[in-house]
Amino acid sequence: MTHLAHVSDPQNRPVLRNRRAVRIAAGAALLAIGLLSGRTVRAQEEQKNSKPSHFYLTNGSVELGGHMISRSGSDPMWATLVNQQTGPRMLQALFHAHSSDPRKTPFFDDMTMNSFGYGGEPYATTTLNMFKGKIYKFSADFRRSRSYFDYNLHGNSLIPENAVPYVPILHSPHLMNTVRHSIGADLTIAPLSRVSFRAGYWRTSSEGPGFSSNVSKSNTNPLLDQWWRYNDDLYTGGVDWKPFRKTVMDYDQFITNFKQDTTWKLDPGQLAFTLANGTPASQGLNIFTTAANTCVVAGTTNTIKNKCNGTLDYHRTEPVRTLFPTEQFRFVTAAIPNVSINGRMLYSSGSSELNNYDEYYSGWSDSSINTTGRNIITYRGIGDRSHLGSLHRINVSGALGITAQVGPKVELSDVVDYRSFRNPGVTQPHQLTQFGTSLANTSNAYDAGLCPPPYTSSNCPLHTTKTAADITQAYRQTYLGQTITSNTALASYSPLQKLKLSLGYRWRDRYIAHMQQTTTTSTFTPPFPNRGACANVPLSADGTCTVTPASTPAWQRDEIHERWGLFGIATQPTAQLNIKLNVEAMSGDKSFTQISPRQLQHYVLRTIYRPNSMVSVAGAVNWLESRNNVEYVHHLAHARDFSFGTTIDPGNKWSLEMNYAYDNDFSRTDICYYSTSPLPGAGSCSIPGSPDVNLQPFFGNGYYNAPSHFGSMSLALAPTKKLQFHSGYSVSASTGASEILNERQVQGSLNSDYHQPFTDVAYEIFPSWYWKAAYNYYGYGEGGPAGPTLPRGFHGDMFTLSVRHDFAPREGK
Amino acid sequence: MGRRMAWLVVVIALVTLSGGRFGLAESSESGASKKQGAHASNPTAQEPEFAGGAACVMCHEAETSSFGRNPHSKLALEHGGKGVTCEGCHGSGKEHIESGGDATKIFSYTRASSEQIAKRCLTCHQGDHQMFSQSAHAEAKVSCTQCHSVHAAQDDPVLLRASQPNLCYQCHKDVKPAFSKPFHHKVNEGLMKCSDCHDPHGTFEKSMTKTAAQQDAVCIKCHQENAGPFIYEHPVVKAEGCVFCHSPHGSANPRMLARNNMNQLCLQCHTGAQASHKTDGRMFNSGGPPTSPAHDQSMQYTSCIVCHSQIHGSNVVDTFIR
Repeated sequence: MTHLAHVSDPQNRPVLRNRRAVRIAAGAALLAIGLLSGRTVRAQEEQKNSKPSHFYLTNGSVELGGHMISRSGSDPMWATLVNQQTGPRMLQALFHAHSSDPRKTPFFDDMTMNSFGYGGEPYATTTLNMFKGKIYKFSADFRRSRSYFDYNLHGNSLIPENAVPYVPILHSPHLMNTVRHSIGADLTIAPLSRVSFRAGYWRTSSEGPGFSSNVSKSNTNPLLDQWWRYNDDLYTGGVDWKPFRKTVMDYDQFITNFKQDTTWKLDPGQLAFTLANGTPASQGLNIFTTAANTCVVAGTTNTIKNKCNGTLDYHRTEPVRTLFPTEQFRFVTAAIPNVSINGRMLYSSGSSELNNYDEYYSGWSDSSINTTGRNIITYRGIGDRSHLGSLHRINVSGALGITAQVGPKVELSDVVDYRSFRNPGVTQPHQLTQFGTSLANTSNAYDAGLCPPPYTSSNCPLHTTKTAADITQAYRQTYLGQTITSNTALASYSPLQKLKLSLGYRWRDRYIAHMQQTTTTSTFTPPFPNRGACANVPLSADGTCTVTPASTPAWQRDEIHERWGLFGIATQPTAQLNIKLNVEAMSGDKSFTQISPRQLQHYVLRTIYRPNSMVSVAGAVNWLESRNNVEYVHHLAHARDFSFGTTIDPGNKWSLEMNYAYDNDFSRTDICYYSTSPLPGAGSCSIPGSPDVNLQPFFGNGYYNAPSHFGSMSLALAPTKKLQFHSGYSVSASTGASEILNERQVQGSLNSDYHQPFTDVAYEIFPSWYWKAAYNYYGYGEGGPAGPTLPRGFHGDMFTLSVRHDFAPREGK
Repeated sequence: MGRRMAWLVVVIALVTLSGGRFGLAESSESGASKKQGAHASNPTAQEPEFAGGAACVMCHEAETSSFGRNPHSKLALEHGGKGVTCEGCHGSGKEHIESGGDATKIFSYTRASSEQIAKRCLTCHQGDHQMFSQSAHAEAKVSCTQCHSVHAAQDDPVLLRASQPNLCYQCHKDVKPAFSKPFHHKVNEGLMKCSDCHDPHGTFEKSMTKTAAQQDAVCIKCHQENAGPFIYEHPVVKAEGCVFCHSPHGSANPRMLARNNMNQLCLQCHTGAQASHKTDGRMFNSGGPPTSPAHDQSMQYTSCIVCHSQIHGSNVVDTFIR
């Protein structure tokens, strides 16, 4: 794990290019604001000496300051949940310009630009909105976010201290530290005209280091350095047509271009062991051996035996290029009296090309050359471009909704929805294996010139009569598709203006199909070319044997039919009280997975009471019951949420907001599992006729219970015009528990508290100049044992000092 | 030919049934709206006379003073200065003025039903909000003016009464707690807005979520690496959706997972019982139970994803190990 530092330290961020870009963007934004603000001042000066021309009304604000952080506890968890650091910041910048006479402002009538978070915040955004009369409207958006994740239980093998050797895993093997940038713009030409045009662009990119893992052919789990890198460009174009009043038709074309260049390679820190000849080797993440069966050579601490599982090298490059052209047609019309119709049709045909695929593994497993033991494996696609495959996704969807007002009190609506996707794909992986007898052995690929009969040269591959094929060329076809058809009919009755009762019925049919077929051409080279599938098969002229067994596609198909009942009440018994109740109940004849509901009931009650303009009281009940309560599954689940909140805002002097919520997620499902040392009391899995029971002999109930409480309070005071005070507290506490299958497993964050109190004060030191101070506390703690990892609790104090200047409304040119 | 004729007949029938009022017709309003006066309820149907926006200022100075800073004002100067002004939304104010300010003589948004308000606003905004009449908000009688305020907006440019997410939290009290859990999407932090994923004006999707451009789940807009297509799809991801394993608003569990223990999450589906159900045709079996010794739950606490790291889909192996 020595190589961990460069990704685990959130301060030492390797994506400096992005940071520079952000700084440049922040500087540009500030400069733009300054220039625009300067224009207003210059305009005023000009007005003194020249003919007044008041074109723009401008205002805005800029807040500059910085954070001071003091924290203790888990740095990785701080970075995962908060990730605030000490340093100067541009906390917010807002600029607004509005034309006072659009006839004299040819470029825009109104412009708003809002930014925050530049200078080192984990999240930064800038939004820009502007329009010019009937000519155009434009919006742009930039966002940058750092995604740091190192919850050390995630994917962690929890190596116990009695392991030999003891190599604890202190960070998540799936740690990541990436930065995502999103930038986009949308332009609408002639938004109010009978025909208007839209164009847009949206780009999202994500890049940064992280860890990954996989199971190598050595049956160990080497830690991999994963460099995330992908971006997605979305181009949109559309036209809106209003052929007659209350009718709009629009057509859109979307082109999504996705590129992924993520790479994986063996983490250098994993090479903590050496062979006797000095070759660095990895034993993988899950080293849990005892002194009796350790691979470590007696008398050494890090020298391992040659015939032990291990990985010497690994890397993988898997570029992906995907293009999704999509067409969409939508329409809405209310031209027919009392009838509203809207619909949409969409067709998307995506294709993905996998070229330049390159994967290399060097290592050994104790299965040895007799069965699947390998030493060097090279994976590629076919041809010069190492073409691995071509994949497709076709999405087709259409929906039509009709709402008809039948008299003053009755409304009928119906929505027909059809959606379908299918993913056909073909890959042609090519695998070359060079077998060996140990980690230290030199593996050879077959070369007829270097390895003549009787194949005893030291340049020959190492084979036994049980060695697998040396070269495989597979042709794999896969398919996944789903078609969902549904119809929702709803009748609403409004006996009173403020009361609406709804009753509805929905049917929903799903058809799912899945297929895999692999045809593999295997080549067996000398020595012993007539082994395995090539037994008794004639040899080629070069002494090799090639065989292509027939294959058949393995299809799985299923249909699920669901029937839903819908009921709703929306009422406003008084002008101050709104109540809405929705009930949905579903029953299906099958379920897609064990935990997919075969029956569900969903109750949602929302109410808000505003007795006067100062007080608001709201509450909600969100209660979902779902089950797949069939034999050997017995899946039962509920999510029950009860929430309440009130806001008191009597005017400019003070306001108070309080919220409380209790929610409970519960689930249980019959599970069977394999364990060589089950916990005391583990039940026996007994499913008559199941071929898997013997291999999964123990029974679990999949118990998961996550009750949580949430409370928040916020008080705002403005005792004078110059002073503003704001303070609050937010806490989220979970006291959950789930079934334990392994004694080293801990509940972790399921039993945790997260506290976030805050206080801030703003004082107007000069007209339009505010001094601000803020204090935020972040405290995270877990109630149960940390497990064989580092503790995850932390608390941190963040002090923020800043100065804000408001550009009061003024006129400029 | 016959099909074309059928379409022609349908179109002619619709036009005939609508009384030939295509493009001109206004839907009749419920009895409640008629209390607000004929002119007030229908600003475009043969209005007698408009009083002009200037007249409104005399009594409604507070409301009109802010009008110049909201997007509707751009319409006011159109058509020779007779574009959308106060009467564009409230209907003719002539009778209202002549009656000395009788509130029943003009369309009042505070007294109108949500349907009446929506009908008014959608007269211009229907193209942007095509699904509103079938949205959960419309069904719940949430009116446009409960979220938007032309006169007292806090958040430009869409004239929201308050900024997101606080505006949404006012009713969705059950959603606010999720965003305060340790692992959550950064909505409270300002990076994301509710409207990034949801369209409050309605969509054809559940929970009024938006979709990615190619009709994939809205999550794909940012998490494109999971979009695929993969040669080996994890079928549940595409068939049931991301929310099958993740709680997108927030969770106490890392990665906003539905379970704190990864192995339990996986074993719920990948267990021996599934094979049993496959035999009677009641269960779609898209993945076998983990039965090899490598899946020993006790030798090592091996999280499923340590091996199956490409769990959203793989182009190499159907077991998602690379």
